Amino acid sequence: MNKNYRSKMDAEENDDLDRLMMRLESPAVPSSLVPQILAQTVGQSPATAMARQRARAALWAVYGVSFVLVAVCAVLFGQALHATGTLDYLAFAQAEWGLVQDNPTLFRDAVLGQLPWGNCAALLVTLGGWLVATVAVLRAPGLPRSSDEGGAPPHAMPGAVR
Amino acid sequence: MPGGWRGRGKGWDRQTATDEVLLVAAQGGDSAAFEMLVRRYTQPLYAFATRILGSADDAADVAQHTFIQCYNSLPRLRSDTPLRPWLYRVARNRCLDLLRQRRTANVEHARNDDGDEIDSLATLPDTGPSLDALAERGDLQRLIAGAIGQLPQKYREVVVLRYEGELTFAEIAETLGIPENSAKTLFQRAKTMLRLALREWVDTDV
Repeated sequence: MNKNYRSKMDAEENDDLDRLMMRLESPAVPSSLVPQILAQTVGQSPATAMARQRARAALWAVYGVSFVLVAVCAVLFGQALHATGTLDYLAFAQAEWGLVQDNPTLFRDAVLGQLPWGNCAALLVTLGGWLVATVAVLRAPGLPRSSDEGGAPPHAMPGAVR
Repeated sequence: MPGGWRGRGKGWDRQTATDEVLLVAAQGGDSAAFEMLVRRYTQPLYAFATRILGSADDAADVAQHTFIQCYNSLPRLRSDTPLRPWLYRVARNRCLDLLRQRRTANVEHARNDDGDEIDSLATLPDTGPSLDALAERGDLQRLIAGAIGQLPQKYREVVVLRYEGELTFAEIAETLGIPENSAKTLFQRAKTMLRLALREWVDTDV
C-alpha cells in the first residue's frame, strides 16, 4: 500500500490505525493479467472487433424483429378471439362465474372448440423466440449489463453522454 | 484540457498525463493511451477486488471485466468523466455479481447486515508477538487482511477504497452511490471495528 497514503488526499492527521494499515501490502498482480486485458481490448484486430460488433447488431436486430412479431401475433390473436366469439364466452364467464362453475366441462368444451388455435400457436412460438432472443442479447459478451451500471440505464451512468 | 494532448506530437508523455487526457486520447483512437490507463489501474482494481472477494482468480476476472467494459464504453464516456470512481464502480458491481453467484457456497462473503460483526471481529487473537515480529514473519499481512476480510461488505468496501485505492471520500461516495457524509460515517464505523480487531497492535507498537 502506498506509504504516502492521504498525503495527496485529505489533509488529516494519520492515526495509529492509519499507520498500521499503511503496512498492508497490496496483492501482486499476476504478470499475465495486463497482457490479457490488452489483448481483449486494444489488442483486438479490427476484423475481430468488427465481427463482434456485427454479431451484437445482428442479435439486437433479431431481438427487435421477434418483439415486433410478438406484438403483431398478440393483436391478431385478440382479433381472432373476437371474430370466433371466444371473447363472448370469456365475457360471459366473467359475468356469470357461478353458472360456469355449475358446469365447467360444458364451458371448457365450448371455449376450446372456438379458440383460434392457429393464432394461439403463432403467439406462443413468437413469444418463445422473443425469450430466446432476449437471453441471447443479455448473455452476449462485451455487452454492458445493468449491474455494471448500478442497475441504472446507460444515460444515468456517471459520465455517460446525456 | 490539461496538457492539451491534441497539440502534442507522437512523443507526448502518457506516463504523466492525467486520466482525463488519456481518456480523451483513447476516445480518439490512441490505443497507447488506453494501455496506459490499463497499466495505471490494473493494480489498484486487482487489489480492491482481491480484498472484497478474497480470491485471486476472481479478482483477475473483475479487472478484466472492468477494462473491457471501459473499452466498450469509451464512445459514451464524457471527456470530463472522473475515471477513477467510474472504474471502481464497474469493478464493485462485478464483485457484487460474483458474490451473488457464490452466495450459496459461501455466505460469509455476501454478508450485508452488521448484526454481530463486532463480536466476530473481537474473536481475533488479542495477545501475541510484537508488531515487528509479526511483520518479519509475514503474519502482519495476514492479520490486517484478515481483519479487513471480516468486516461486513459495505464497511469492507469503504475501507479498501480508502486505504487500498486511496480514494477521497467524494470519490468513494460516487463509487458507492451514497452521500459523502455517509461514506465518512461508514469509514469511521469500519475503523472502530478494525481498531477492535487489531487492538493489540494499534494501541501499542504503532
